[in-house]
Amino acid sequence: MKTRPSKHLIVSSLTTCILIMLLVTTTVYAASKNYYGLTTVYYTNNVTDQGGWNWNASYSDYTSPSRSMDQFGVNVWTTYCTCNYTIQWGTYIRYEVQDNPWMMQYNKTSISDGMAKLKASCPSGQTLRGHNYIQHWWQDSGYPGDGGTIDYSKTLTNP
Amino acid sequence: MGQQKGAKMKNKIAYFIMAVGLLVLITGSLRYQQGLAQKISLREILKLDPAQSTGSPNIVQQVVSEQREEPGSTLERFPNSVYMTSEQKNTNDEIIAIAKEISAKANLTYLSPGWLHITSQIESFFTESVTQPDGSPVPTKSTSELWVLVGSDGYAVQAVTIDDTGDPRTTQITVFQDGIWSNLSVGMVASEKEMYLPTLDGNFISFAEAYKDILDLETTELEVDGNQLVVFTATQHFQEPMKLAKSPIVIVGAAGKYYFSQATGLLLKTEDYHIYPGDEMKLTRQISLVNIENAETPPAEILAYFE
Repeated sequence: MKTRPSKHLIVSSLTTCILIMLLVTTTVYAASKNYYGLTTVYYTNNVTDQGGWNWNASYSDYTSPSRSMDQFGVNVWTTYCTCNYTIQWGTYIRYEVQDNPWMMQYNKTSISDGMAKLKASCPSGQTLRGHNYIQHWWQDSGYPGDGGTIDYSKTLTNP
Repeated sequence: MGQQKGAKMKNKIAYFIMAVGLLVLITGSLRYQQGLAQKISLREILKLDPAQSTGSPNIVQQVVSEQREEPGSTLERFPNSVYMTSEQKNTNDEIIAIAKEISAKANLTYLSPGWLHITSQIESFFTESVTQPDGSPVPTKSTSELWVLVGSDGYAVQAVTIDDTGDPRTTQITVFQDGIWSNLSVGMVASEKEMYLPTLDGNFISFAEAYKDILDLETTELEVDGNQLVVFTATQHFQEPMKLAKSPIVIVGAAGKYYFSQATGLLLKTEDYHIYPGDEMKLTRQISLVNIENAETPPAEILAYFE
């Protein structure tokens, strides 16, 4: 006598199959969006001398080949002047991404920004420098492992 | 009866398969998430260590686009500056010559081989960012102390700079030794060796020479408490108003005033100004000389920084 499979067995088997298929699909999708090792992230970090008391700290980033990163930008951006490598607090500017969405953008291949910054005088005997510190950051599939960070600081001694 | 038992058994098997399937899914999902988390931790993301930037050389490249200063390309270098007339340039040269003559007196007295000790007061009246990352206010006043051992060639052999804000959290100590600068307070170490040439003019002369095409230099004499002072004013005007960082503040220029003693050639005070639309000038920062002396040897606590 041939026995038919129970209704519960059919439902549970179908549910398990659907769940497994869903997992496989998600993994493949994530892998297909993982640009790690395929896409190059280019970045710049500059302190440029605009003359007199004006320095301009800036950064820019872009990817190549041109494919949008899910998230792209910088986490931390800090500029300051130092006298003999002593940070001059009156010149200290720091932006973090939490409060500044313009630092972290979505579906972008390139971003850039710059800030005008005045120099500060130093006491006699001391040397003035301008510093620009940036933590570049990108993420291409929503998972931390698919992104990366790079820290870079730049110093300009002037004049 | 037997059929009912068989059906119940099949139901149990079905529930068992579903439970195992769910368990596999949940375990796999958790392990996947843990694996991802282990690749980059939050600590690593926040770590401000340039050394970790070398971890992915194939996917990160820096584009070198530095603007280097080149003689003769002033117009390209400072596109937003108002340039001086040839007459004003000649005046600037004359003023720089006067500054050199005055400053030479102080150099002759103090910039001899041996230890030099300079104490200055710094006060800021403008802060773009009024708090530090931890939310505490940015200090606006400090006492800067410099101990420097000047070599026979005029360059520094060793130096210590202490910027005392009165708060140990923001007080900074930097040391120069074997050509390397180290900020002991924030853990910042210069990546390359360098020569350090101490000057007593607050770098005014080299600054004025570098930017004489875009600076409007003036000089006046002043008497303060019976002391004759020579005041040099350097003003830069922008062609287009400029925003400071992401703030709404707009300036049309900047200026600096340098107060030299006519008798000693010492720079007694420096003032930095912002120039706002309507040519309103606001003092942003002031540095006052408190003391300068040549010393046989620094105190033991200063020498200890070189050990």
